[in-house]
Amino acid sequence: MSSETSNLDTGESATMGGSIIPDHVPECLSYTLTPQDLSLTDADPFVPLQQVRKLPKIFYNSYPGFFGCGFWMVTTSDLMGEVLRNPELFSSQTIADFSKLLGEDWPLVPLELDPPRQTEFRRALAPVLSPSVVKGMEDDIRVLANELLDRLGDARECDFMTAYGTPLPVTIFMRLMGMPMEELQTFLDWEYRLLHEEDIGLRVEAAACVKIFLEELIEKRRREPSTDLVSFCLAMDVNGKPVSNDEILGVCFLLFVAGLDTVASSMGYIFQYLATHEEERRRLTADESLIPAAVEELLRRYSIVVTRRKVMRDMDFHGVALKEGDYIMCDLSLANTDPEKWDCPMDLDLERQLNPHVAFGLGPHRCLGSNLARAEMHIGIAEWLKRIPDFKVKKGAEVTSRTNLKGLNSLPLVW
Amino acid sequence: MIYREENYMRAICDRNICQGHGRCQALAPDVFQLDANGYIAKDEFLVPMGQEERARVAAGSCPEEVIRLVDD
Repeated sequence: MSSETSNLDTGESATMGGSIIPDHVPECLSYTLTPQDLSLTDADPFVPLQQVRKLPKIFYNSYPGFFGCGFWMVTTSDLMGEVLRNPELFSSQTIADFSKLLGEDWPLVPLELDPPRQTEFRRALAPVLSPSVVKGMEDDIRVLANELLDRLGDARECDFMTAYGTPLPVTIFMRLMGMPMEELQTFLDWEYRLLHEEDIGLRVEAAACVKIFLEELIEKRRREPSTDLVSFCLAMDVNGKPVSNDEILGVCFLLFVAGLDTVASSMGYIFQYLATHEEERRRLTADESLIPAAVEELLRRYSIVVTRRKVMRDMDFHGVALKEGDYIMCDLSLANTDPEKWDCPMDLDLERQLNPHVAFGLGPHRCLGSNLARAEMHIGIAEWLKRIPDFKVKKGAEVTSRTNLKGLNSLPLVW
Repeated sequence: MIYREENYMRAICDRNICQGHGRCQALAPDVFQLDANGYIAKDEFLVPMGQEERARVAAGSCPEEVIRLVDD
């Protein structure tokens, strides 16, 4: 932990950095925590993140960060459950705010909608990634995993992220969307800039590129429907109500940002763990049937998703005065490592039986792609271990995490 | 009152709060069935004999706490 200079240890509330703390935030709940204070660039950022347990369970971080404004953080499983299960008090409106980058106002659908319209969209979209549909994709995932492993040839090393962790889920997703495979790198570049770039100008540019590309794709499928997800969305009936152009764009934009990043990021942490835990890795290699439970435990311990909600009216929330328009940040990894809920939460028990983790979220916005994500991880791990059972992180490699949306920048492996 | 020799475990599921995580079916496939979209299919049913422990693990692994198990 590199927290000696941070205000976590001194207990002082900080006001430096030019950030503005709203009047209704009491000094005793106000902190200015930068990603550096929390060592979020570590190879395992989930460990230093535990420092926030020393703070009040609800506190205000005035560090403007990715969204350019301060926000409340809730750090316990119970509080996050309350926030994520009560959309009438804690709304999903504008929680990602990509259209604002373009000076526009259309939501990601259904991510930035609340019930009942959100529920209607979820019902309409449920068939596209249902368990039985995903079951039908398993063979394709297995074939692709082996193609990627074939491509390594006689090499005894690779960057896991670029050779396997990213192309496996991204190729599957692009096929699903009917996106041209030769543009894979372009899409990943846009995605990276949109989600991880600090420079707002580059993010705006990336948002514009994605929007133009998707609008063209949508128009093309409108003229010539195919069997892909975009065509499905165009034909879908949402509780008898028409789907507007903005809503179609909102669905496609959401699928684009969700489909290119999340599984790859999770796979990075999982393979870093496997590379550094020989005994556990050998056990999974010897008995494939242990992989699903292991994946659940790895998802719990390395939960990458951080989401937020918008406060809908002034209220007292467990003794804290919240104001309409405030945002509450929910780092799901904090719920999944809450010592009130889990014994020894930072230790991994790959055979853990009861594992009600919330890595895919909680409440009405549960990740739509969770069935597919799980299948990709199960198969991705099993096929790799069959071909490369013993591997390590390359000596001298500096493994670091990104600060906006957790994920490893690279993971050099040798075998 | 129906007289029975055996004790049964009953699963009571709140379908209104099921969000389709699918953990129950993955952990106890002989106990819990999902509908075509991946949401829990039935409100209430008896857990098959011998499946009680699997049912407990599945119910305890549901992030939404949909499933309540009661001994009849």
